[in-house]
Amino acid sequence: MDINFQNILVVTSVVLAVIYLFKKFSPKKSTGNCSKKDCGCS
Amino acid sequence: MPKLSDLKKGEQAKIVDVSSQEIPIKLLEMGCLPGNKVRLIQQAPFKGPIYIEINGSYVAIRKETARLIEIELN
Amino acid sequence: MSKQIKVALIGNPNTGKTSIFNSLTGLNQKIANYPGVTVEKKEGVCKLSRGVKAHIFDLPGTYSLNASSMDENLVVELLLNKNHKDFPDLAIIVSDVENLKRNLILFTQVKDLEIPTVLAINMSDRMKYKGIELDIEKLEKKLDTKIILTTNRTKDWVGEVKNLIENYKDLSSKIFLDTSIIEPEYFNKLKNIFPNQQLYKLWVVICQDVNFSNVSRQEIENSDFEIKSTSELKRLQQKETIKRYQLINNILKEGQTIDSSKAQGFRAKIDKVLTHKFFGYVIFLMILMAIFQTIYEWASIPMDFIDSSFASLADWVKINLPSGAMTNLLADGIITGIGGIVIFIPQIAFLFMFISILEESGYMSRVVFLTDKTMQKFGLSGKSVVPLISGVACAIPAIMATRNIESWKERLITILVTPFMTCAARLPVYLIIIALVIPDEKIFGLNYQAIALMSLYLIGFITALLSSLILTKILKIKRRSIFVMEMPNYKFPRIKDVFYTVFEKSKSFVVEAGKIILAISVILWVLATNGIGDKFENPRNYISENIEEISIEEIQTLEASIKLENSFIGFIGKSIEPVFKPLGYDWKIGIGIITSFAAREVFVGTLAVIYNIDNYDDSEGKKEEIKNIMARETDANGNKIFTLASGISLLLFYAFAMQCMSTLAIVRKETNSWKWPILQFIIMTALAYFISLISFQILS
Repeated sequence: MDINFQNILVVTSVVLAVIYLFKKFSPKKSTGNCSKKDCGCS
Repeated sequence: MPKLSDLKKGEQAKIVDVSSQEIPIKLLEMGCLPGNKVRLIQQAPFKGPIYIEINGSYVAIRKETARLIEIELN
Repeated sequence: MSKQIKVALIGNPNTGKTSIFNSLTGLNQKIANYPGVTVEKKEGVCKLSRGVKAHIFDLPGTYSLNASSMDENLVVELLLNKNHKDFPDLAIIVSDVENLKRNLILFTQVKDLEIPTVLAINMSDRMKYKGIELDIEKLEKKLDTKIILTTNRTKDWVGEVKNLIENYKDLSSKIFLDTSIIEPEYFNKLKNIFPNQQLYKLWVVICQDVNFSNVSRQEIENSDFEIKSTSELKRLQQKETIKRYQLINNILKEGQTIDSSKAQGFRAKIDKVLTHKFFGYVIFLMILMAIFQTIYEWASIPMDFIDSSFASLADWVKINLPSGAMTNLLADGIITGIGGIVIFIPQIAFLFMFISILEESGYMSRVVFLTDKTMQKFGLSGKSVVPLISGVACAIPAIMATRNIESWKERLITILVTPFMTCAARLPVYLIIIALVIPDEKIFGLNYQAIALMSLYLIGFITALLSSLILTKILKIKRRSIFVMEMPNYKFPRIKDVFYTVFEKSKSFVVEAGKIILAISVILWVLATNGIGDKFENPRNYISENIEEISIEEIQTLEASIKLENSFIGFIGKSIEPVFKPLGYDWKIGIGIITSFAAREVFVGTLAVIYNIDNYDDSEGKKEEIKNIMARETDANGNKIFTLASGISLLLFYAFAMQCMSTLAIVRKETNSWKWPILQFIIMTALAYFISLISFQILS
């Protein structure tokens, strides 16, 4: 591929896109609470 | 002793006892406490929930819960 | 940096808390995650004088600190944790003037946590009409707080509130009720074991599943202090509630007079009709039908406008920017991909608008009341109706809205079946495929295409009900029949509040989906325009027809399609084609399905990008409508790709498949386990595959 300004932009955007999707869908730690039962002590 | 579930549409009664452990605290916080007046506004069809007024609060509860609340008819 | 004051807005549900929040912050709001009606914490900024800013947190509505559902727990957790970054400097308790007695329970509890507290008595403009009179000075003294009368009608009170926020250090933080009065023996013992802790905090921690920094629940359990049995605790909670009620009663006897002769007639009259044994249901159905009708009627005008604007934008970019790879990416990849989703904003906005009006007006509670018994037969709760209806907009806020369902079994089933409801993201896919394969003709005055769309919504709803029926039978969880729901007053929804909701929801819907679509479009475009091998480099040599006999345009089209088939995306698509072949899809649709596992609406953008590449612009350089390109698509033998059989198979696939990462993430969060989202994903997708397979094999 020739190295010109537009190609550099394209490559940059692809890299950004991949990083974004990767970050978005990698499992995160979450803080859940009161699940397996009814909440509270009622 | 009559229960809240026996109340007919439009009738009013006084709550006497709510000590059953099965009654959610939330209902008590809504004002469902001994001595307060309760009135049945609407009964959903097919033995569905009842829509009542207690102490200025408007609440819907299921029949199962209403069966645990003792009342005194006026 | 100047100090920022943190303010928590706390109050019972239906007290107009959100209106106060909107009045204080305007559009300076930020909502964590997808917005439901205050299911997540909302944050906004309110400017005070001298450059000081207040951060206002609108917390989920709660009746007390004895949390009985998950969103209530959120409030308790924040208020107990002094080290939490959002721990408030002061709390504004919003209460409804008509229900002061009940609202004050929460007020006294927050006060007992030693948080400086202001009492906002909302809807004060209704006082006269309801025959209520308040002695504010007396109440302020007795409750040891500052009271502000607020209303939606005017904004005079805003300055007063800002003033109190600014001088929050002058507010009293003395407790209201000495906790040990509830049962001296028990609480004195507790006090002796944890002498440095605040008694009421300890009590709240003991009562529920929350930890706070200084003392964790574990610590209490490990100490030699004996925690009572659940029923004992409950008895104490009852005692606490009664005690608070007594104290509040005494105060209100002095500070409030109610002339009950001015009681409500309006509410009773409307309730008589809307909760009627027969007419209640008829009205509900009519409202639903009217909503769907209006959405399709009203949305078409802005949609046409958006469609043409994006087409001209792409043309403009091509003509006016220097030619090169980036310009092509912009026009064919990004603008086309984004345009595919932006066009559905009007419909989504209308959908959100109607749902928010239904909720704000107080009507939703009546529907819950009417449907509870029927929903119970399917293993759901009447409260599941709200998530199911909002699931028609988006499953994410819908699943968050299940938090007020008290029974865990009913709540879990609601979470699991809600994604079957036809969400707004399926709409773009449905519309484009229906337009392609279902004839635009009428039978008995009904349009076939409209019937197809209606059927898809029905299929979603029926599948949701049937699956809950099955789930109730197989899930081995004990069901407890708890159900307490306030029936709020009817309110005319404030236009401003509805506008904020629609704006916020549409924005987050489009921005969230838009970012994913943007990223995927970029990657797809690059994969589709690059490749290796001689077939990709010199496609002309591989044209099977005699080049001498066909026109230049035809040569170009053939070249482009050979190039695409041998690009990276073509390579990936071809290798997964065997999986989708039995369903009647070619490799391009296969790519569309794979990418839409990120979010369903990506499908349209993906096809737009792929089809755009192997189709040459016509001589004027104008873009052709994507629909026409798709209609022309044929396989190697010249048979059409989009036929009735493959179209219906594709529609059914989208109706059943679990193609939304964000929904899975929220299910994971709400059920606190990977088990449910994984099961949901596998079962729904397998179901989609087999139903599509069967329907294609029968129809073709």
